[in-house]
Amino acid sequence: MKGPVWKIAGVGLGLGFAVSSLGVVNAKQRNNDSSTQKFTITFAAGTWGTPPSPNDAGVQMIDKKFNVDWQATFSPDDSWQSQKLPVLMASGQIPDVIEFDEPDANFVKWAQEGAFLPLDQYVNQYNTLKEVPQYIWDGLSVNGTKYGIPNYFSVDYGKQIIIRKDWLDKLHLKMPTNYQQLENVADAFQKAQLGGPGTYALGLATGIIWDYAAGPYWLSWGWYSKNAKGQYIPGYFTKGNEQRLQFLHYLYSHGDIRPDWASTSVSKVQQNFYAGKTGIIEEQAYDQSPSHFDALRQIAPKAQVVVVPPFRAPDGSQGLEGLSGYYQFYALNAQLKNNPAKLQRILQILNYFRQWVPPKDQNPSNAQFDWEMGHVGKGYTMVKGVANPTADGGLEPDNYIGMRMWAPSGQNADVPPSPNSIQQGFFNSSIAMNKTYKTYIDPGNRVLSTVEMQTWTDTTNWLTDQYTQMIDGKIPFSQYDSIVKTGLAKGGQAVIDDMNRLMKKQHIQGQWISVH
Amino acid sequence: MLKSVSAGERVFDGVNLLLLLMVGVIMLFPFYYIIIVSFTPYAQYLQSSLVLWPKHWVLDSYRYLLAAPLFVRSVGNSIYVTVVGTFVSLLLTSSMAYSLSRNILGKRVYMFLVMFTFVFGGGLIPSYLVVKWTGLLNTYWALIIPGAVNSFNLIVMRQFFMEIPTELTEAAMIDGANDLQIFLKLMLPLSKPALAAFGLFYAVGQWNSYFNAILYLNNPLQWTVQVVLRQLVILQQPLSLLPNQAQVTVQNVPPETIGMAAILVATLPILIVYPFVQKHFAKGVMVGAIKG
Repeated sequence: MKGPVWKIAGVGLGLGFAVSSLGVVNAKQRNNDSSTQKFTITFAAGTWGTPPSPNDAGVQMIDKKFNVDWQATFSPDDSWQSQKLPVLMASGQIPDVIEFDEPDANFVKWAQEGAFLPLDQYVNQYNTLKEVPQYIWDGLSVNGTKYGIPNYFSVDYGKQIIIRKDWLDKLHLKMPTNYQQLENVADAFQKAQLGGPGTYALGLATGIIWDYAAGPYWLSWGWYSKNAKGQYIPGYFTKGNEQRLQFLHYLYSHGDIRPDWASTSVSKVQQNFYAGKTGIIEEQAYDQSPSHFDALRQIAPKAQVVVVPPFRAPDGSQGLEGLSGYYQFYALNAQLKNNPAKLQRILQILNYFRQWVPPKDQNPSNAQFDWEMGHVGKGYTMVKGVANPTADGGLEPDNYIGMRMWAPSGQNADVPPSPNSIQQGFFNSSIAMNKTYKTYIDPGNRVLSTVEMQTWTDTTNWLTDQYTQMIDGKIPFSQYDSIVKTGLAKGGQAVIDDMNRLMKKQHIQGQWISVH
Repeated sequence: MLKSVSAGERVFDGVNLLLLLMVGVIMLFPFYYIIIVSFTPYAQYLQSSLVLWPKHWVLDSYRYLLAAPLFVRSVGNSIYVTVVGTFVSLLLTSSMAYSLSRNILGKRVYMFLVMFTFVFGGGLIPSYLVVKWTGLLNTYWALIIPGAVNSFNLIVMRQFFMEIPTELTEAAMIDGANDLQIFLKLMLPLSKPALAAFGLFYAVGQWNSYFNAILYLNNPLQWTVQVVLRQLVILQQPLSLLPNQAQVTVQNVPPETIGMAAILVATLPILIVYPFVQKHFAKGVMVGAIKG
C-alpha cells in the first residue's frame, strides 16, 4: 500500500502548504489593508479664537496625507470643558481624541472609570512622546497611569516682570535687584510721568493680577516653602507672600498704581502698558502675538522693553518659577484599544504634528513646516523672515489638530523671532535671562488632587479678597497671620494635606533644573 | 377751558424734565460709547481713558468684521433662526393656548403637564440626549424646537383667549366656520397685541441664543452671532485669567474697537425691528393682566 499512502501523504502535504500559504497571503493582505484603510477620526476641542471651517483645504490636506476622515469640532473654550464636554461624555458620544485645557476633577473621575486609554505602552513608540520629561507626565497621570498627551507650553517662558528700559535709562536708574529697589524705581517712574499725564508706574488688575513674584519664594500659587511639619505649602500662606503684598501696598499708598486697580480688568491694564502709560507689568515671551507691540511702536517708537531678573530670596535661592510644561492635553477614547490600527494612525498624526522644527528652519524651505502651515502664499506668508498665518485659518492643517511642536530638551522652542523690534528686544532679554538662571519644577504641578480641584478656588478667592484689602490698606498687615490661619481652616489645610499625601506617595519633591 | 400753569408747576415740570434727561443720558451713554469707539482709531482708543469723540472716523473695525466670513455668516444664521423660530413659537404657542382656553377633553391633564414644565426642567444632559435621539443635533432646528413653547407665555396667552367672549366663536360656528377657520380668521386677528408682545419676547430670546448654539451645533459655520461675538469679546479678556501661565497665541488678536463694532452689529436688528412693533408691544404687554 505504499503507492496510495505516498499519494495521500503528498496530497495532504500539498493541501497543507496551500492552506498555510493562503493564511500568509491573507495576513499580508490584512496588514496591507490596515495601512491603506481609511479611518474616520473624531476630534473635539475648545477654542479661544475663530475655528476653521469643517471642510476647508487644511483638513483635506490631513485627510489626503494620512488617509483619514478627520472630523474636528470646536467649541468656545470658556464653556468647553466645564459644560459641553461633560454633556458629551454623559451622552456617550465620546470623540476619539478629546482636548482638555487642564486636568480637573472630571478628568480624574473619567480616567478612573475607564473612559480614556492608558498611554504608557505607547510612549516609547513615538519620539515626541519619549521626549516628554517625567515631571510633565506626572501631572497627567492618574494612579500612576498616563492618560493625557501634553501639548507643549514653555516651562520657563511664562509671565515675567517686564519694564520700560528706556524709562530706566532716561532717569539714570539701574535694573532693580530687590523689592526695595523696585519700589524706588516705581516712585521715580510715577514722579517723572514719562508717558504723559495719567501714567502709572506699575500695572495691577483685579484679583491681584499680576503676582509680581520675582521668584518662587514669593509666588502665591507656587508650592515652594514648607511648614513646620515639613509639608509643602502654597505661597498664599507664606512670609514671601506677605513681603510681596507689602511691596504692592507700598506702591498703592505712594500712588504708583491706579487707585481703582481692584476693579480694573487685566485687559485694561495691559492696554495702558501698550499705550505707553505704564512702566512695569508682567508679560510672557512664549507664543505671543506681536499685535500689542505694534500698537506700542506706533505710540512710542523708541520704547525698549526688557525682563526684570529674579531677585535673591531670603533663603538664598534665585531663579525662575517653572510652569507645568504643557497647556492643554489630549486624551484618547478607551474604545480605541479595540481598533489598534486606528489608534496607531491617530498617534502617528499627533506625533507628526509634534515634530520639532527649529525656529531658523520655520520657513518654506522646510517641507514639513510648509505643509503644516498650508503652503507659503496660501496658508501663510513670510514677513521679515517670520511666518505670518493668513486670516483664513482653514487653510492650515495645523489648526485642525492644535498640537504644538514638542521641543527637545535644551532647544529654544519658545521664542521664535518677532517682526516687531520692541518685542524682539523683550524676547532677547528673556532668552538671555532664562539661560542664566535655573528653573524651579513645582511639585504642585505634578500631582492631581481632587480635593484641590474641588475646593481650592473658593479658598483662594477668599484669600485674594483679604489680600486685596491689605494692599488697599483696609486690613492692617498685623492681621496677616490671622488671615493665614483662617484660610487654612477654610479648606487650605485639607488641600495641603491631600497634595502632600500624593507627593509623598509618588516620591515627588521640588527641584531646580537647568532648562536650557 | 385752558388751565393756567403756576410758576411752581413750571419749576416742578422743569426739574422732572431735567432728571429724566439725566437718566436718559446715563442709560444711553453706554450705547453711545460703543458707537463712538467702533469708529475710533485703535491708537487713539489706547491712549485715551474715555473716548467721547474720535479724532477722525475710521471704518477699520467694520471692514474687519465684514471681511470675517464667520461673523457675516453668523449674522445670517441668527436672522434665520430668529425669523423661523419666532414663527414656529408663535404658531405652536397660540394654537395650544387657544385649545386650552376651550373645553377640550383632557384639558386638566394638559394644563398639569404645562405647569409641571413651568416648575421643573429635565436638566442639561437629558435635554441633550433628547435632541440627539430626535436627530436634531447639528441642525438649526435644535435651536428652534426644544424651546419653541414657553410655559409662561402659553399660560398668559391662554388667559388672553379666555377673555374673548365665547359668543363670538358661537356666532362664527353658526355661520359655518370650523375650528381652524375660527382660530385663523377670528382669534388670531383679535390677538395682534398679544402676538406682537410674545413675538418680540421669542425673537429676542432666539436672537440672544448662545448656550444652546454651543451645545447643539458643532459646526462653526452654523454658530449664531452671539457665539461669534462672545469669541471676539472674550479674546479681549485677559488670557491671564486662564491658568496663570497660559496664554496661547490667538494670532492677530483683534483690537477692542472691533469688539465694539461687533456688539453694535449684533444689536442692530433688534433695534431696527422694535419701533415697528412698539405700539402692539405696549398694548400686548398687559395681556392677561387682571382687569377691574
